[in-house]
Amino acid sequence: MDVAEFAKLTREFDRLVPLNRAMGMHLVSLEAGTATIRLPWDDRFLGDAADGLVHGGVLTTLLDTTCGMAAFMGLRTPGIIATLDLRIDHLRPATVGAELVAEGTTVRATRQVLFVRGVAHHGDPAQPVAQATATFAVTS
Amino acid sequence: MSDVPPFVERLRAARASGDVGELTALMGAVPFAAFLGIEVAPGETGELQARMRFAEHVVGNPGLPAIHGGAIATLLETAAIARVLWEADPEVLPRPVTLTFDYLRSGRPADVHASARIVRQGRRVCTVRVAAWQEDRERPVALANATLLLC
Repeated sequence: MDVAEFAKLTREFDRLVPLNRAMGMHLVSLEAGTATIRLPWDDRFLGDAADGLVHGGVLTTLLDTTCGMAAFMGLRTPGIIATLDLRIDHLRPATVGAELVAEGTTVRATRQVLFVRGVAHHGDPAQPVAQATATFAVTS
Repeated sequence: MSDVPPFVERLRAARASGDVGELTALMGAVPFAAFLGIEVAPGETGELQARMRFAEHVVGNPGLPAIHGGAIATLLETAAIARVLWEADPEVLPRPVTLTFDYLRSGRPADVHASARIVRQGRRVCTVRVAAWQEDRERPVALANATLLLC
Protein backbone atom coordinates (compact mmCIF):
# COMPACT_ATOMS: atom_id res chain seq x y z
CA MET A 1 0.00 0.00 0.00
CA ASP A 2 1.35 3.43 -0.86
CA VAL A 3 2.09 6.06 1.76
CA ALA A 4 -0.80 8.37 0.87
CA GLU A 5 -3.37 5.58 1.00
CA PHE A 6 -2.02 4.34 4.36
CA ALA A 7 -2.15 7.89 5.76
CA LYS A 8 -5.76 8.24 4.59
CA LEU A 9 -6.81 4.93 6.17
CA THR A 10 -4.97 5.87 9.39
CA ARG A 11 -6.94 9.12 9.58
CA GLU A 12 -10.19 7.24 8.99
CA PHE A 13 -9.28 4.60 11.60
CA ASP A 14 -8.51 7.29 14.18
CA ARG A 15 -11.54 9.39 13.34
CA LEU A 16 -14.11 6.69 12.71
CA VAL A 17 -13.61 4.24 15.53
CA PRO A 18 -14.03 6.00 18.89
CA LEU A 19 -13.05 3.04 21.09
CA ASN A 20 -9.83 2.41 19.15
CA ARG A 21 -8.93 6.08 19.55
CA ALA A 22 -9.89 6.13 23.25
CA MET A 23 -7.65 3.12 23.92
CA GLY A 24 -4.79 4.54 21.87
CA MET A 25 -4.47 1.94 19.10
CA HIS A 26 -2.13 2.79 16.22
CA LEU A 27 -2.10 1.29 12.76
CA VAL A 28 1.35 -0.06 11.97
CA SER A 29 0.74 -1.56 8.55
CA LEU A 30 -2.04 -2.55 6.19
CA GLU A 31 -1.50 -4.82 3.22
CA ALA A 32 -3.77 -7.02 1.12
CA GLY A 33 -5.69 -9.12 3.64
CA THR A 34 -3.51 -8.21 6.62
CA ALA A 35 -3.28 -5.60 9.36
CA THR A 36 -0.86 -4.85 12.19
CA ILE A 37 -1.88 -2.63 15.11
CA ARG A 38 0.07 -1.63 18.19
CA LEU A 39 -1.40 -0.68 21.54
CA PRO A 40 0.89 1.22 23.93
CA TRP A 41 0.36 0.47 27.61
CA ASP A 42 -2.26 2.43 29.54
CA ASP A 43 -3.09 1.90 33.23
CA ARG A 44 -6.77 1.73 32.31
CA PHE A 45 -6.06 -1.73 30.80
CA LEU A 46 -5.65 -3.35 34.22
CA GLY A 47 -8.03 -6.20 34.96
CA ASP A 48 -7.51 -6.32 38.67
CA ALA A 49 -6.77 -3.47 41.03
CA ALA A 50 -4.84 -5.74 43.41
CA ASP A 51 -2.67 -8.18 41.44
CA GLY A 52 -1.98 -6.12 38.36
CA LEU A 53 -3.34 -8.32 35.57
CA VAL A 54 -4.09 -7.16 32.04
CA HIS A 55 -7.85 -7.37 31.43
CA GLY A 56 -8.81 -10.09 28.95
CA GLY A 57 -11.14 -7.59 27.30
CA VAL A 58 -8.14 -5.52 26.21
CA LEU A 59 -6.82 -8.47 24.18
CA THR A 60 -10.29 -9.22 22.81
CA THR A 61 -10.87 -5.62 21.75
CA LEU A 62 -7.42 -5.32 20.16
CA LEU A 63 -7.80 -8.63 18.30
CA ASP A 64 -11.38 -7.89 17.17
CA THR A 65 -10.18 -4.57 15.76
CA THR A 66 -7.07 -6.06 14.12
CA CYS A 67 -8.93 -9.00 12.59
CA GLY A 68 -11.62 -6.57 11.41
CA MET A 69 -9.03 -4.37 9.69
CA ALA A 70 -7.41 -7.47 8.12
CA ALA A 71 -10.84 -8.55 6.86
CA PHE A 72 -11.47 -5.04 5.50
CA MET A 73 -8.14 -5.29 3.65
CA GLY A 74 -9.18 -8.71 2.38
CA LEU A 75 -12.49 -7.62 0.85
CA ARG A 76 -12.80 -8.53 -2.82
CA THR A 77 -14.64 -5.27 -3.45
CA PRO A 78 -14.97 -2.26 -1.10
CA GLY A 79 -17.71 -2.82 1.45
CA ILE A 80 -18.74 -2.82 5.09
CA ILE A 81 -18.10 -5.76 7.41
CA ALA A 82 -19.46 -6.90 10.77
CA THR A 83 -18.00 -9.44 13.21
CA LEU A 84 -20.04 -12.67 13.09
CA ASP A 85 -18.07 -14.62 15.64
CA LEU A 86 -14.77 -14.48 17.45
CA ARG A 87 -12.75 -16.94 19.50
CA ILE A 88 -9.96 -15.77 21.79
CA ASP A 89 -7.41 -18.13 23.35
CA HIS A 90 -5.46 -16.58 26.21
CA LEU A 91 -2.15 -18.40 25.74
CA ARG A 92 -0.16 -16.76 28.54
CA PRO A 93 -0.71 -13.80 30.86
CA ALA A 94 -0.05 -10.45 29.19
CA THR A 95 2.61 -8.31 30.87
CA VAL A 96 1.43 -5.22 32.74
CA GLY A 97 3.14 -2.11 31.42
CA ALA A 98 4.17 -3.62 28.07
CA GLU A 99 3.01 -2.52 24.63
CA LEU A 100 0.89 -5.04 22.72
CA VAL A 101 1.16 -5.74 19.00
CA ALA A 102 -1.57 -7.56 17.08
CA GLU A 103 -1.40 -9.03 13.59
CA GLY A 104 -4.39 -10.20 11.58
CA THR A 105 -4.41 -12.30 8.40
CA THR A 106 -7.34 -13.05 6.15
CA VAL A 107 -7.29 -16.78 5.50
CA ARG A 108 -10.11 -16.81 2.98
CA ALA A 109 -12.48 -14.25 1.54
CA THR A 110 -15.76 -15.15 -0.12
CA ARG A 111 -18.42 -12.75 -1.30
CA GLN A 112 -20.38 -13.15 1.95
CA VAL A 113 -17.85 -14.12 4.61
CA LEU A 114 -14.19 -13.54 5.53
CA PHE A 115 -12.19 -15.94 7.70
CA VAL A 116 -9.43 -14.28 9.70
CA ARG A 117 -6.73 -15.34 12.16
CA GLY A 118 -5.04 -13.02 14.61
CA VAL A 119 -2.29 -13.07 17.18
CA ALA A 120 -1.24 -10.62 19.90
CA HIS A 121 2.22 -10.44 21.47
CA HIS A 122 4.62 -8.07 23.21
CA GLY A 123 7.03 -7.73 20.30
CA ASP A 124 8.07 -11.35 19.82
CA PRO A 125 5.57 -13.23 17.62
CA ALA A 126 7.09 -16.51 18.88
CA GLN A 127 5.75 -15.67 22.36
CA PRO A 128 2.07 -14.93 21.65
CA VAL A 129 -0.15 -13.72 24.50
CA ALA A 130 -3.43 -14.48 22.74
CA GLN A 131 -4.68 -15.80 19.42
CA ALA A 132 -7.96 -15.19 17.67
CA THR A 133 -10.11 -16.84 15.04
CA ALA A 134 -12.81 -14.61 13.61
CA THR A 135 -15.36 -14.58 10.84
CA PHE A 136 -16.82 -11.43 9.38
CA ALA A 137 -19.93 -10.93 7.29
CA VAL A 138 -19.90 -8.62 4.31
CA THR A 139 -22.94 -6.46 5.03
CA SER A 140 -22.91 -4.28 1.92
CA MET B 1 -5.69 -23.85 56.37
CA SER B 2 -4.29 -21.97 53.42
CA ASP B 3 -4.36 -18.21 53.33
CA VAL B 4 -6.92 -16.85 50.93
CA PRO B 5 -6.80 -13.36 49.40
CA PRO B 6 -8.71 -10.65 51.30
CA PHE B 7 -11.28 -10.29 48.51
CA VAL B 8 -12.24 -13.96 48.95
CA GLU B 9 -12.87 -13.42 52.67
CA ARG B 10 -14.92 -10.31 51.92
CA LEU B 11 -16.98 -12.08 49.25
CA ARG B 12 -17.66 -15.01 51.58
CA ALA B 13 -18.94 -12.67 54.28
CA ALA B 14 -21.01 -10.76 51.72
CA ARG B 15 -22.48 -13.98 50.29
CA ALA B 16 -23.44 -15.15 53.75
CA SER B 17 -25.34 -11.92 54.38
CA GLY B 18 -26.71 -11.67 50.82
CA ASP B 19 -24.92 -8.35 50.23
CA VAL B 20 -24.13 -8.17 46.52
CA GLY B 21 -22.71 -4.68 47.09
CA GLU B 22 -19.35 -6.18 47.95
CA LEU B 23 -19.20 -7.82 44.51
CA THR B 24 -20.29 -4.55 42.86
CA ALA B 25 -17.45 -2.77 44.65
CA LEU B 26 -14.88 -5.44 43.77
CA MET B 27 -15.81 -5.46 40.07
CA GLY B 28 -16.15 -1.66 40.04
CA ALA B 29 -12.47 -1.42 41.03
CA VAL B 30 -11.38 -3.17 37.80
CA PRO B 31 -9.86 -0.36 35.71
CA PHE B 32 -10.72 -1.61 32.18
CA ALA B 33 -14.34 -2.39 33.11
CA ALA B 34 -14.66 1.04 34.74
CA PHE B 35 -13.19 2.67 31.62
CA LEU B 36 -15.97 1.06 29.55
CA GLY B 37 -18.68 2.03 32.04
CA ILE B 38 -19.38 -1.55 33.11
CA GLU B 39 -20.88 -2.26 36.53
CA VAL B 40 -22.11 -5.42 38.23
CA ALA B 41 -25.36 -5.26 40.18
CA PRO B 42 -28.68 -7.09 40.58
CA GLY B 43 -31.16 -6.48 37.75
CA GLU B 44 -34.86 -5.71 38.21
CA THR B 45 -35.62 -9.33 39.09
CA GLY B 46 -32.75 -9.52 41.57
CA GLU B 47 -30.66 -11.61 39.17
CA LEU B 48 -26.95 -10.81 39.11
CA GLN B 49 -26.19 -8.82 35.96
CA ALA B 50 -23.52 -6.69 34.36
CA ARG B 51 -24.44 -3.47 32.60
CA MET B 52 -22.50 -1.22 30.25
CA ARG B 53 -23.72 2.35 30.14
CA PHE B 54 -23.74 3.76 26.64
CA ALA B 55 -21.07 6.39 25.99
CA GLU B 56 -19.50 7.75 22.80
CA HIS B 57 -16.15 6.11 23.46
CA VAL B 58 -17.55 2.54 23.34
CA VAL B 59 -18.67 3.01 19.73
CA GLY B 60 -16.95 0.87 17.11
CA ASN B 61 -18.84 1.97 14.03
CA PRO B 62 -20.16 5.55 14.12
CA GLY B 63 -21.90 5.10 10.75
CA LEU B 64 -24.63 2.81 12.03
CA PRO B 65 -23.84 3.69 14.92
CA ALA B 66 -22.88 0.44 16.68
CA ILE B 67 -21.08 -0.42 19.89
CA HIS B 68 -17.59 -1.93 19.45
CA GLY B 69 -17.57 -5.74 19.51
CA GLY B 70 -14.65 -5.61 21.93
CA ALA B 71 -16.65 -3.55 24.42
CA ILE B 72 -19.56 -6.01 24.26
CA ALA B 73 -17.08 -8.88 24.65
CA THR B 74 -15.63 -7.22 27.75
CA LEU B 75 -19.15 -6.85 29.20
CA LEU B 76 -19.79 -10.57 28.58
CA GLU B 77 -16.46 -11.55 30.13
CA THR B 78 -17.17 -9.34 33.15
CA ALA B 79 -20.59 -10.94 33.64
CA ALA B 80 -18.99 -14.40 33.50
CA ILE B 81 -16.27 -13.54 36.02
CA ALA B 82 -18.76 -11.88 38.38
CA ARG B 83 -21.08 -14.90 38.29
CA VAL B 84 -18.21 -17.30 38.98
CA LEU B 85 -16.86 -15.13 41.81
CA TRP B 86 -20.29 -15.04 43.40
CA GLU B 87 -21.32 -18.69 42.94
CA ALA B 88 -18.19 -20.80 42.58
CA ASP B 89 -16.19 -19.28 45.46
CA PRO B 90 -12.77 -19.47 43.75
CA GLU B 91 -9.71 -18.57 45.81
CA VAL B 92 -8.23 -16.57 42.92
CA LEU B 93 -9.74 -14.16 40.42
CA PRO B 94 -11.07 -16.45 37.63
CA ARG B 95 -8.74 -16.22 34.61
CA PRO B 96 -10.11 -16.48 31.07
CA VAL B 97 -8.70 -19.37 29.05
CA THR B 98 -10.87 -19.41 25.95
CA LEU B 99 -13.85 -17.29 25.07
CA THR B 100 -16.08 -17.52 22.03
CA PHE B 101 -18.44 -14.76 21.01
CA ASP B 102 -21.37 -14.81 18.61
CA TYR B 103 -22.44 -11.38 17.46
CA LEU B 104 -26.13 -11.60 16.61
CA ARG B 105 -27.17 -7.98 16.19
CA SER B 106 -25.38 -4.66 16.16
CA GLY B 107 -25.28 -2.91 19.54
CA ARG B 108 -27.39 0.25 19.27
CA PRO B 109 -26.43 3.41 21.15
CA ALA B 110 -28.07 2.38 24.42
CA ASP B 111 -27.12 0.52 27.61
CA VAL B 112 -26.27 -3.18 27.26
CA HIS B 113 -27.11 -5.79 29.91
CA ALA B 114 -25.54 -9.21 30.40
CA SER B 115 -26.28 -12.26 32.49
CA ALA B 116 -24.18 -15.40 32.94
CA ARG B 117 -25.00 -18.97 33.87
CA ILE B 118 -22.54 -21.59 35.07
CA VAL B 119 -22.86 -24.69 32.90
CA ARG B 120 -20.31 -26.78 34.72
CA GLN B 121 -18.02 -26.09 37.61
CA GLY B 122 -15.04 -28.36 38.10
CA ARG B 123 -12.19 -27.99 40.53
CA ARG B 124 -9.96 -26.18 38.03
CA VAL B 125 -12.20 -25.12 35.19
CA CYS B 126 -15.60 -23.46 35.00
CA THR B 127 -17.69 -23.30 31.82
CA VAL B 128 -20.07 -20.34 31.60
CA ARG B 129 -22.68 -19.22 29.07
CA VAL B 130 -23.40 -15.52 28.82
CA ALA B 131 -26.00 -13.44 26.96
CA ALA B 132 -26.06 -9.70 26.29
CA TRP B 133 -29.13 -7.73 25.32
CA GLN B 134 -30.44 -4.18 25.11
CA GLU B 135 -34.15 -3.34 25.28
CA ASP B 136 -35.45 -6.86 24.73
CA ARG B 137 -33.88 -9.82 26.48
CA GLU B 138 -35.46 -12.14 23.93
CA ARG B 139 -33.40 -10.45 21.22
CA PRO B 140 -29.78 -10.82 22.41
CA VAL B 141 -27.07 -8.74 20.73
CA ALA B 142 -24.34 -11.27 21.56
CA LEU B 143 -23.74 -14.63 23.23
CA ALA B 144 -20.55 -15.96 24.75
CA ASN B 145 -19.13 -19.22 26.00
CA ALA B 146 -16.35 -18.70 28.54
CA THR B 147 -13.90 -21.22 29.93
CA LEU B 148 -12.33 -19.84 33.11
CA LEU B 149 -9.53 -21.18 35.27
CA LEU B 150 -10.29 -21.28 38.98
CA CYS B 151 -6.76 -21.91 40.25
